[in-house]
Amino acid sequence: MSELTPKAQQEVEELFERVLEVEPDSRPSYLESCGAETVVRQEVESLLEFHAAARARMDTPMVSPNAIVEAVDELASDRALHRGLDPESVGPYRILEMIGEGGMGTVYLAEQEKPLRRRVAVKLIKLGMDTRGVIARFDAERQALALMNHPNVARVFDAGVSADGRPYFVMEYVNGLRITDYCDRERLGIGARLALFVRVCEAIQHAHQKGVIHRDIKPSNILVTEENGAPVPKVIDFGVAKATNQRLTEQTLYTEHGVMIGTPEYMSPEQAGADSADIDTRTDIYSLGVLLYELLIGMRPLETNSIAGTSPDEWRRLVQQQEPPKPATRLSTAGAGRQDAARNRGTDVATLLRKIRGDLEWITMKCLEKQRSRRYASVAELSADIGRFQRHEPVTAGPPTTVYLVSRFVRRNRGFVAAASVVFFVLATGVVSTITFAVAESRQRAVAETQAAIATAVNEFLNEMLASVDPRNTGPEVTVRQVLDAAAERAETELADHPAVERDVRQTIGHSYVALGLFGEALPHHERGLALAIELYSERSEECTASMNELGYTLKQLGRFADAEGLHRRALETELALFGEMDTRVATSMNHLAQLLYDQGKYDEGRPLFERAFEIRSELLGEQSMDFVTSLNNLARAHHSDGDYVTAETLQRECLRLIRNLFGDDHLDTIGVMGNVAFAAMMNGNYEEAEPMFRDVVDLLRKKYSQAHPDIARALNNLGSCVYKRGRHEDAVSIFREALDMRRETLGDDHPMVAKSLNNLGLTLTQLERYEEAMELHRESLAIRRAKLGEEHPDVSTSLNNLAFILYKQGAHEEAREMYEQALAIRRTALGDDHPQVANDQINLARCLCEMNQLDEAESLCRSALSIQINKLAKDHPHIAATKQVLGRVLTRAARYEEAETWLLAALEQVRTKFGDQSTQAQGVIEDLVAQYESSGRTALASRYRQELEGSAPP
Amino acid sequence: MVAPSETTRLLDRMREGDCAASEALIPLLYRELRAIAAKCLKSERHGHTLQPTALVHEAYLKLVGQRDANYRNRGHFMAIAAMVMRRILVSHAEKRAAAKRGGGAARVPLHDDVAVTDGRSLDIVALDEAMKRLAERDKRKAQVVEQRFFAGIEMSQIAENLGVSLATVKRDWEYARTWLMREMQTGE
Repeated sequence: MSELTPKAQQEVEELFERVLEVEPDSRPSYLESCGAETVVRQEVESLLEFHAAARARMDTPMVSPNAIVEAVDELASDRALHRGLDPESVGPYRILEMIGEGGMGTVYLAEQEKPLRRRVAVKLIKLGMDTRGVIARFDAERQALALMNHPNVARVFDAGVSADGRPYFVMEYVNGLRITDYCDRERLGIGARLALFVRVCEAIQHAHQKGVIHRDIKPSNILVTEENGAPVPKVIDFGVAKATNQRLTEQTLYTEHGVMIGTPEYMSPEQAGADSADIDTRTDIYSLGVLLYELLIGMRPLETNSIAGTSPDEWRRLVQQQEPPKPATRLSTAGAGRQDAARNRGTDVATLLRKIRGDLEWITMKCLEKQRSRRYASVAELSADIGRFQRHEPVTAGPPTTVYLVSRFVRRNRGFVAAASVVFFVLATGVVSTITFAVAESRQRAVAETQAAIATAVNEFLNEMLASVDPRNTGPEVTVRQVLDAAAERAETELADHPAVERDVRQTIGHSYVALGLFGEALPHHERGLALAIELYSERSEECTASMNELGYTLKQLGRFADAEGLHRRALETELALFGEMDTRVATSMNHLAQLLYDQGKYDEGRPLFERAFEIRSELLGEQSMDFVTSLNNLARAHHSDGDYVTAETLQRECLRLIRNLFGDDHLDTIGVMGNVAFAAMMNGNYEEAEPMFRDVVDLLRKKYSQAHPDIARALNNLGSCVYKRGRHEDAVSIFREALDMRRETLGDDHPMVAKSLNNLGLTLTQLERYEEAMELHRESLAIRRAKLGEEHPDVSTSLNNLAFILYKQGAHEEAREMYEQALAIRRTALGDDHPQVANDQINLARCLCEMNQLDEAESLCRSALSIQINKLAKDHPHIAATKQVLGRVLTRAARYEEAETWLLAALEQVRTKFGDQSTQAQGVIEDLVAQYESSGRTALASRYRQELEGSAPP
Repeated sequence: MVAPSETTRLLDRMREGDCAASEALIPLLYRELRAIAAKCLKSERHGHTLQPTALVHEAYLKLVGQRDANYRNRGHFMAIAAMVMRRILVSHAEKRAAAKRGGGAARVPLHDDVAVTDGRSLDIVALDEAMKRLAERDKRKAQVVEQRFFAGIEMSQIAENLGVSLATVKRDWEYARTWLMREMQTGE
């Protein structure tokens, strides 16, 4: 195209403008008659050919009209300046970029440098918050937050105050889309949406179990990332809502310009209420209901056209009074929006309506009840109901008729509604009065469904309260015990006429006692629970088998193996008859039974059960489930107990591979399994390999926690054991000491885990023959255990045994004996006369008595131990061999050589079979055998065995 | 419209050579562009995806590269925003084209995806090329297109930004887009 002169160009533009004002049909004639130069006219004609196309394609700007103008004006407004500039750093975190903005403030991607370099999300709260209050409230919840460890929960690391006095929160950085956006973008169908939703529920349930209520569940707080191509929802912002004390006020919902920025649509009626302190886990259930509603149909229950124009008061009235339409109703009246909704779910409107009508609507509406007592009592119940829907089983949510009765009960019982953060014994009052009310109500109504519903509510409530206390970290919790004892007493007197309620309550109380390690206290409740289950539901019911397993587990802990076994077997047989073999419940019962069999050393019977449970889970759940990995881990431990450390290690490595796939490298469970692999390697004697792995585990955990933590202490402890086994006792001492210090720091000086560490260190120092120091440590350990666990706890017995051993080594036999006797008496009281642990203590005492030449007593102890062991343990259990060995030693001293030889040879054969000819166990027995042959004058045999000893001794 | 405020004052200070003011403004613009990207690149459907984070990061770098530029006023500021927006959109279109040709082998895995509104089957890369040629001939017309088409700014505002009459902007726009369309369809 030839260039026009500037003048011609000018003419072209003018002519072009004019000709456009002419009707298109008349344009050619206009151009003919306009008298322009040919070159100008031709150029305009040429342009006109493209005018229509230009108009069609370039009429709509690439970005929304005026977005840029608004943005620039936004900058010019006071609001932008009020928010201030993006800081370069907040606390110790270097800001990289802004990643989000909401009513509360701004979220940044930031980098943490110390103690480890990682990317985090920093949420900087806007100005105007009561900073000190925010931080205080966050600190109050910090411990509970730290306990959360779930693949779908973004961890909250820290909170602090920025240089300009604004509170900030630091959490795991999640690079993802809002769950609703993700589902729409991927056009996920209802099934896939439910699957994601259930995982969100699991995360929330996990938090509830740790005593944390989210309070601000909404799509922007649930981000979906993809890991290995699979969507992974992550719930963020735990603890933030509570700390910032968000309420439905002008301040939280509106900017200074009166523009609504927060969304109140996920807020529960009680949150919108004037007293927002009155919040419990069911508040989260309401919000989950709104989320579910939106996931199902793409609209929210109370969506209005003009939320922006709604004042907080109006909204409060709306959310507290207006009944939302059922999802299908709303969808079918949604006009054009419903086509979009269906398309985003990869289906058409009719199919979508059909899918959500009925069960899914009931589930959703049950979450959205204005009265929280009419909602699900726990998130677990909600996700269980969705599970039922997915498996085409009847759901518990239903048309309101049955639930109505329950709601009436709660409306009259405000005591039931208590925040999870309130002190425990206050809750106890709530619980007990609930039970009382439940009884009164059911007396009036005498409706079976009501009872069951109440019981479930009570049950879940108790469960949540109790589960939020982790006894491993806090020690037996006195206040929880008080709750339990009170509940137990009331159950006794007040529930007698209400077997269904009583059964649930008993089971819960029993379960909670078990969780606290108070097995004796749990026992009567589980017994009564089972009896009631049989009475109410028949022996062939799921309720009954669940009770049997609970009771069985309790009995096992009390050492009543035969009774426990009977129950687990009956549970398993019943379930097999009821559900067939391909059932996850059957797999769980198999695991119970197998574990019990292993505890008794009946490995051959237990192993096939572990294997079958593994196969069932593998079939039903696939490799990508935590239950499958758990089963695989069980199998590994089974092989470990069998002494097949090689297979155990192989399986543990497979566990590691799977769990890495499930949760990634960085997950706590992954690190835990790494520890297992290291442990298996150690048992295989691969200390060179195990030690660096243990060190990795320690390092990873240090990174993960970035400060002292009981898990790190545990890992250090394993590392210490490995180093100890490599013969570096001095190194082991310093590692054990670090573990001990960390436990002191994190758990307090008088925690049972501190006692355990003291014990390990004591044992190592005993090996180093630093008896005085060791004695000191064992004494401290003993004192803690006595104070914290009670005089009659089995661990007290263990400490006494270890102290006695030092005395025994030092030749203070008389004192050692006294202590061993004390230990034995405690063990008997705690576990009963015929517990295998009692047998162990008897053997220890017998060794000491043997040195003191009190041979009759020693012999009778050995025989008593042996009879317990033969009764309780598998024939080839190593402890039996140990008993035979001591018995042989005692008889040697008593010059009853023939009998001695018989026992020693029996012991030798057993340990050789079990551990191999070269094992330390075998060598120990041979030493006794040599002594016997020397004493009995059979020198040839003595020297033959001595040679064997020397031959196998390491160079 | 909006009363002269801090930003305007910052712009004024910047014009007077106050570097601190420029330092202060750029992050603000960066933040706002980010928000625009999120707002305007609506979630349409599969296929056309880009990462707002990367996109705005790019915008930021470009702005930082411009820090010596003479920001005269709000209009100038807006013009720069429009230019940045154009670069963002063009570069995204280029990447998409490369990916379609299979040339985008080393694509970063896309998270945080947002799809571009693009109902128009318009070749943005070709348009950008044509606009460069237009700018050589008539810089103002190219700016009009940039502000109108790439940044969605109203005609009257463009007139204000460029300090010309509304009629001129309308004339420029009509002429320029037609010229560009011809350039795209007949050129190369």
